Amino acid sequence: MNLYDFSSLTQSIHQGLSAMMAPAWVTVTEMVLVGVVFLLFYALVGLALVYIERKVCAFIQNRLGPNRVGPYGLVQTVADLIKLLFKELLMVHKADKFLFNLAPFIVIIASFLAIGALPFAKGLQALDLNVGLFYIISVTSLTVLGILLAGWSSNSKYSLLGAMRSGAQVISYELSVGMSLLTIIIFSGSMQLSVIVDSQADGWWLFKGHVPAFIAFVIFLVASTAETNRGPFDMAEAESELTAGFHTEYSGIKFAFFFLAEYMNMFLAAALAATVFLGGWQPLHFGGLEAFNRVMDFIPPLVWFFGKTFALIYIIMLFKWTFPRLRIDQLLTLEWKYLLPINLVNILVVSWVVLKGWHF
Amino acid sequence: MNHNELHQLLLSHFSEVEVAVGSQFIEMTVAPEGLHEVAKRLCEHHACRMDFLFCQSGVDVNGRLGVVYHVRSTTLKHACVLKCFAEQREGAVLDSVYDIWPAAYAFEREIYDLLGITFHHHPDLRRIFLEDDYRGFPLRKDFIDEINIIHN
Amino acid sequence: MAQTSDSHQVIIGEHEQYTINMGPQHPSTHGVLRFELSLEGETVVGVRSHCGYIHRGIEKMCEVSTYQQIIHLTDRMDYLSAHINNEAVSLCVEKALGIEVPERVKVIRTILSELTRVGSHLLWWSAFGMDMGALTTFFYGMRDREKILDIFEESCGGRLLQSFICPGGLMHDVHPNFVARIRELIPYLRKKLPEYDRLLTGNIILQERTRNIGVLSRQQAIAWGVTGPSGRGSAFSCDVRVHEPYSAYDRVKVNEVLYHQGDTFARYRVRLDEIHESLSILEQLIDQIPEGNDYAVKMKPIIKLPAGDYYQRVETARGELGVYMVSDGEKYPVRVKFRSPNFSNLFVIEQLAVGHKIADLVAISGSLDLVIPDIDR
Repeated sequence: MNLYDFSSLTQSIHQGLSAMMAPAWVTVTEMVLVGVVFLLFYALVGLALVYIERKVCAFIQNRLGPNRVGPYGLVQTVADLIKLLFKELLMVHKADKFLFNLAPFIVIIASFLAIGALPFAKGLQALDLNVGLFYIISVTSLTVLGILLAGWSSNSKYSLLGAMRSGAQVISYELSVGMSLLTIIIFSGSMQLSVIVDSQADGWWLFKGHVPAFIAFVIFLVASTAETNRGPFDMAEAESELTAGFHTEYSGIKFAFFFLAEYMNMFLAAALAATVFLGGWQPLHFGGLEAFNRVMDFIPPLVWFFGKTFALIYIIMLFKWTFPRLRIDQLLTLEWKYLLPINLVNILVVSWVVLKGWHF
Repeated sequence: MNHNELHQLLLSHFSEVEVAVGSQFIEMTVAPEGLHEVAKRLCEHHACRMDFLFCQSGVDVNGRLGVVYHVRSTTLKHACVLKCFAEQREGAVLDSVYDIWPAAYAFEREIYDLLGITFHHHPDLRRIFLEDDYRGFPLRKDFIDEINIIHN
Repeated sequence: MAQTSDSHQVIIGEHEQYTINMGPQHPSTHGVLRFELSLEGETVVGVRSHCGYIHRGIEKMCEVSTYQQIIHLTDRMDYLSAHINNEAVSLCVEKALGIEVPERVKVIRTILSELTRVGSHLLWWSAFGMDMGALTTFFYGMRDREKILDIFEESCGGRLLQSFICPGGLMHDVHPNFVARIRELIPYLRKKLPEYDRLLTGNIILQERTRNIGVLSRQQAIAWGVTGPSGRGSAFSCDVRVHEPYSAYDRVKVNEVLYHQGDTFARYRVRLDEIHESLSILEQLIDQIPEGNDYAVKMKPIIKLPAGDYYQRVETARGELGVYMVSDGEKYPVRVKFRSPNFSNLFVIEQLAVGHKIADLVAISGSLDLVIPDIDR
């Protein structure tokens, strides 16, 4: 039983709108509403993540991090954004103007599209597709298109190298991401995110799915870190080798778009892992501990969802700030020689477990 | 091998060069035409084995351009100095010792750049520090740069 | 591309090379150095290094400077080994004049040199981590180097360029806290160094990326004149402190750190071990500073070296620094040549990096510990 059900709220908004206008207009209005809300959400999460990352890395590195603008430096990222907005948009000589300008938008739209399908709480989900998981995977992998275009159109060898690396990397790790999610699809028997979340009401798949689910979870974390081009897999923008990789030639707000999209992709990866493996907005339940479970139910689902997501984001940040970067061939070796075979075996094991009904 | 033994050895093996005992090293002065041959023998002779060229400096003293080679043996732990002065100032030419001590690659490029001594058989003799179209050789005593150098 | 033009010909199906300029403004060249890379995909097939972007003509300037003034120019060569550079020139001048400096000066000079070496290796470790993509190392190394710079600041006034050691002794006496601060520093660093191993040395990614990368054989090291920790990583015993002790190195036990692999990881290990070694030298010397306050012998205001040529070599943090001075008995030297370690170490990279990836080139150039102003002078 869920205490916090947002379905009635969204239903009442829908009915209120329907009473006022024609069905077509209702759809339009709702789309605009959802769009505005997500745009705000996107900006907020982006700014928050930049701030969090700077604080986290500062504490790992014996520093204080931003602490001048606003209390505890909270407004620092806003100030940075304003600075970036005012910066000149440089254009490389003989760059492909159209693609050069298009690339940041592709990157940012790809990450924006995926938010719509995330279930934040019961009834708080804009798009509950029956192939939700598939939709998110396919939409997030559009990012690589933007990166490749950015590298190609910049008319710079550094950018091109970064983009090529990124292409090889994202396409390889896409496999592992998909396969590790496939294990949970087998467990829950659905690709619909709301169904997957509901199937974890009595326990998260990480716990219910025995060892295979755990292996899949670890692989997902590694592969999605790689897919979002974050350290130690930040080949595409390897600072010490390629100065800034595919966005070397970008400045001002177009650079900020890439920057923001990277953080949003990290958020999406963490949110997806939280949804699929850690029960999404479902509270932590233990069989047999009724009193404990009741107390957990009182904590709002949004707290659960964001709590899990940010815990995973923290882990991904720890990766970046402690590990050295891999080399491109080692990166591909890791995927094709280790993660992928493990994944394939894992899927076999999962299918066997599910067929025999051994999972909880 | 100590100072005296090395002195005797060099005297006996290198009859064509002038061997003197300096304040610190044994100094050999060789004519440009014998340079490469002497250097090769210094490096390969079983009792010398000067396999490590640890310093090579171009000098412009007493109106003559020359190169000073500081060489050392890493196995026998002795060192000596080889000096060679070019015959003329303009178009000064010496043999490269790059094939004996590859370390000379950089040193010779530097000497070429700053003193204008050309090295025969150097694989890639270009200016190393100054621009390719720079005129003159700054470490020469007769070099004049009215803008950047304060003369005293 | 089907059509071919005169300027660039593209043949389909052949391996195609392209050129990329790494530097002069690039984060991993540690200064204004330019590598002209020929690449085949990601693989390096050729490296040409171009230097001179920070050439200041120090050797020419020395010819119009008195011997005391030269000290201040040497700071600017290898700015991470400023004390040791000063010491090299001072020793050379003292040798020419036949001056014996007081015992106290010798010990303090050696202590300063070792502190410089530790500081330089700490900075190298920080920057090497950055080259490898581990960004946190930079702050760990800097945190500990700061303690050393504080000691320098207190005694010498300067943090980076001190010009403290001069012909005849030291510029002035060290601060009363000098000994106490170093006594604090040694256990502090001993405690912190295992952190470095936990953070970076033991990391599997680092080891995979550095083992068997850029292997420099002993013969190659000798032939190309690669000295210092880079040479010792290839088992080339070239530590001047051991082979030709100067200052107070003859009275302390210096263990030369040698590794036989010659790869990037060996060079990495040599430097980390040398920090421990320097700490033990400091430990031996810190109780041996003679009492008193004589910090220099009286020198004439204008030093004139007897005519002749003089050579002095010392071990800086990056290798063997040689000072070759030619004097004609006047107050200005006729010629001063600095055999700077980085200048010789640099060109070996053209052999080491070929066949490796771009990322390895960065690792190799990082492990050679290049300081660009020392190359260009």
